[in-house]
Amino acid sequence: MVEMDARRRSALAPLKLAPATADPAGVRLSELAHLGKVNLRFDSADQDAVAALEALGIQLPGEVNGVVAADRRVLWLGPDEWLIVTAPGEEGAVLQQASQALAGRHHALTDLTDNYTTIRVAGPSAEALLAKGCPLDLHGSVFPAGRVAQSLIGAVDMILECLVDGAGGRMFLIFVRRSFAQYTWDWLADGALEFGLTIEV
Amino acid sequence: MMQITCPWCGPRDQREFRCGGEAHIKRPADPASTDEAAWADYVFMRTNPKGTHRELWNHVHGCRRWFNMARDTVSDRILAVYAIGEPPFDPDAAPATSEGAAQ
Ligand SMILES: [Zn+2]
Repeated sequence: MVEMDARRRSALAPLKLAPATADPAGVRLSELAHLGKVNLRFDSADQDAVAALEALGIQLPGEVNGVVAADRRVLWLGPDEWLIVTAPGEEGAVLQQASQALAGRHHALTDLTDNYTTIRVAGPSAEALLAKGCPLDLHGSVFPAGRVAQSLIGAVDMILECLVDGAGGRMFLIFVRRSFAQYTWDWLADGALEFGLTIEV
Repeated sequence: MMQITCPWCGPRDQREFRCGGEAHIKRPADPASTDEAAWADYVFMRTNPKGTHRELWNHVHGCRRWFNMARDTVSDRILAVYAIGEPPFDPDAAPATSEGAAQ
């Protein structure tokens, strides 16, 4: 674990969130602050480059809207674009190692760690909450764990990732730009009231 | 509302897209020798057909890629979605697809 600057504030710190418990809790919200996020763009037809990244634990998803779950999680964003998500503080190593692996090749590596924050939406009513403001088909048969999509939540652009939550359950990670984080949190918290909202801090 | 099939992301809601106007507008190769009428035609004049219209679309709230789309302006039926750089969609040459048809 890389040591972090104590002055670093999460995107939702200004909301001074306090833990809250609802019973039953249809929705559980929390911020996953400071996850490492590195945007990667290059031509994945270049097999040598793909292999060099794989040696670093960066494995590209084989399918559109796919995710490779690993310490360095890779989310499909476009035909030549991915988001690498790491534990907090690991983004520097990813940037340095990946730019070495891709040296001399046409590529872009951009540190988006502080550009985005991540909000976790869990609980049995998570899908129903997102469906209020997201035009994606969120049904488990279409958007199961291991899928990612870029879309809208309320009025905001987001990256939405679906993960396993317990036995057969699903939870969602919403990546939104920092300046939209408070709006997004308020939108989610307001929409979750009818289901019972637990806030984990 | 319509559902549009992004060539990269698959079928998505119309809200995720923005239309960029008529497709296949060619910039005059030599602006210096292009007379004003031809330049004005390039900049301002667009077709406004009743029927097949070839348009530029951007998946602006998704993958942010541009692509071409042929749409029937009467029925809103989407006739084809195809990549930038491909020749203009010809309704007489290609069979209409049902993908992305107006819902
Ligand atoms: Zn797309």
